[in-house]
Amino acid sequence: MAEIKLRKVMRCPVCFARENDVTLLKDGDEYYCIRCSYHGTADHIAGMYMDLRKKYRWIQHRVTLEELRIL
Amino acid sequence: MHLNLIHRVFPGNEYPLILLQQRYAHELGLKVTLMVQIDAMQDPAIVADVKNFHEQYGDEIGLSLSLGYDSPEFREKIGGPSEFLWLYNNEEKRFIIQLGVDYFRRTFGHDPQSVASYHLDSTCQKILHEICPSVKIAVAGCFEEGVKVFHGCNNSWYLFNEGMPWGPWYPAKTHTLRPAENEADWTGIIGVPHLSRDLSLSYEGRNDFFASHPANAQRGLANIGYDHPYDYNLCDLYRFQEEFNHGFSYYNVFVSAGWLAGHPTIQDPNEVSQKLYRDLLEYLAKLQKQGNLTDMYMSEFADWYRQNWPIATPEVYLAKEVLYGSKKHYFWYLDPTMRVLVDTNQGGSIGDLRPYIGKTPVATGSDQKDLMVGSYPYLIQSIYRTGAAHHFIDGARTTLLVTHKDETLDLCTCKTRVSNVKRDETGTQLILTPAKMSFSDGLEISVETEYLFTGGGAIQITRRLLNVSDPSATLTAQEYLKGCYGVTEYPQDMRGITLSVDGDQPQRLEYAYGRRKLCSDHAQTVTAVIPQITSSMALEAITPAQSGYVLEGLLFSPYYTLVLDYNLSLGKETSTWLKLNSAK
Repeated sequence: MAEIKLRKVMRCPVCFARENDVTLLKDGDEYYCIRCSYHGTADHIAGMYMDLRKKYRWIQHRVTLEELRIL
Repeated sequence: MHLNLIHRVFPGNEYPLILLQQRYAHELGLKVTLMVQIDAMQDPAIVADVKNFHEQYGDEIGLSLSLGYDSPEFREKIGGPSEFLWLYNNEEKRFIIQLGVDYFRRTFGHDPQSVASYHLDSTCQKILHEICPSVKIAVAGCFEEGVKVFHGCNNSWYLFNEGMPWGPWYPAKTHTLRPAENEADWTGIIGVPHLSRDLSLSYEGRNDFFASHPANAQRGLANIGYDHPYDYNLCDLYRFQEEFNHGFSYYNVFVSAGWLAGHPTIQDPNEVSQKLYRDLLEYLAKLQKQGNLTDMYMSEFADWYRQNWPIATPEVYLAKEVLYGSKKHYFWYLDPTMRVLVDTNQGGSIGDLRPYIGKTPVATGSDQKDLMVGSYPYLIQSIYRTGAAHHFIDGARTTLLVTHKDETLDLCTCKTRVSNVKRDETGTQLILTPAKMSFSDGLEISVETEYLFTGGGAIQITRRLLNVSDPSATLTAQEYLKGCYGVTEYPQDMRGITLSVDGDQPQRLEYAYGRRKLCSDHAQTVTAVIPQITSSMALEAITPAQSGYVLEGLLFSPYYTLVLDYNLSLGKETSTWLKLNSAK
């Protein structure tokens, strides 16, 4: 899977898993959440984002109109 | 499919991104409707650009009323922190709408025909129609934006706008999210939703993760960098609806420029956000060139819709889930008397039911009883109100309970899918694939469910026992409905609701959280009257029922239950009306 570049504003991956957008704050090399106890580096957050995407098993799957008819 | 591409024009740091959106659209030859804010109309450079877009490319110029009122007049009369239009009091709404129309006339020399607001409640539409009768069409609601988005913004997004049509509609005077039943009931302005939402995932989750808005999908992490097939899949899902709606489907893209760079909920680099937006427009332009899509200005679409889509025409939407890959089907039906969702993954249970026939009046604003909650109330909402049992007992839903000996199986535990949709003068017929049920003694059966939506607040539910492994087995079936009412996930006061059963022992109770059960032999109708939302709901036997009951809830389970009991025999069917009505 291609490496994903991220902007420096990030949302808490734990709160996101609950479908809640909470912006992380930075403390040195780590980001931390003010709503929950999550904290982690940018790489750790990126990894968690990719884990979260695993629920979308068709995230890279094109479903055309023809395929919709038989789906 | 019909398309409206809409760009909002506002001043400030993001203005260059608006120009970028415009460049993309014009390079691709797409028609754009520009929604210009009051504050933008005071900037001569922006006004010159807008006029040039109109003259050079034909862009329609419309009026944006959601926000952006800053002006000397506004500061003098109202001032204070900015509020969305529909949340001001009536006097302030009138002032702002008049201000917007006046600025528009002075700036562009004519009256607007198209307006945009994320929500446009009944007071706003009445005032707008009075002040500016030239307005034909408005962006006037966001499908299923409410509780889930409120929670998703850490309980800070106070836009409660659930229970509305997913496509264009004729807003009713007393509740603009309800489709009008006739000309007299209509506000005079055609409504279109803000964005085309995913009708599977906006029911299950946040509508602002899954919409005709690439940055929404980015917000939901539904892309991987530049790879974003979901945006095309959703577009094609809307095209698919033509096959069930007399060749009609509608799609709109209304992305504010701020989503293309620096948005705090987007973690992709700006160039990714911009490329994904461009990609979607390129796909729409490709469909247009292929003759599979007609792009229109909003007022142009309003004329087409008025001419081709009569008021009170029922609509359906077959939602196939295309991101998780679950292969789930949901089926939505809408007419001026109801909006209903059939959850085929739960054996065809009704997951969401809005009784438009009750014509519950709702308006938003600081001087209205409903304040910021503009949603149309539900009678059933399985996600907010428990649905099938997970922990304690179940909540709002419908199902069929099949009993053999001492064992009862719940149809909602069986996966089904849409087998066939047929629409003709009798109504909309929905047939599901057979549900297979296995009892612990080895008996196996399969049951087919058919829904017939006939209009007038009525749904005919038919169950057919197609197969049984032992034809001598005795089976009974309960047509089961558990209801409540509300607009959020929290329970409302149920006192004042009445429940009744007819038959050999006709009985009636007034709801007092007493968990009373009223049974009657040969009952043919079980009814709940919910005066709080001026509606009633009943199950009426078409096939003669053996008995029936109504069940009052308790504070730990604040629902009412309506049940009719039938015998189930191989090759035979049971039919029941689910009827909604207005009630006081």
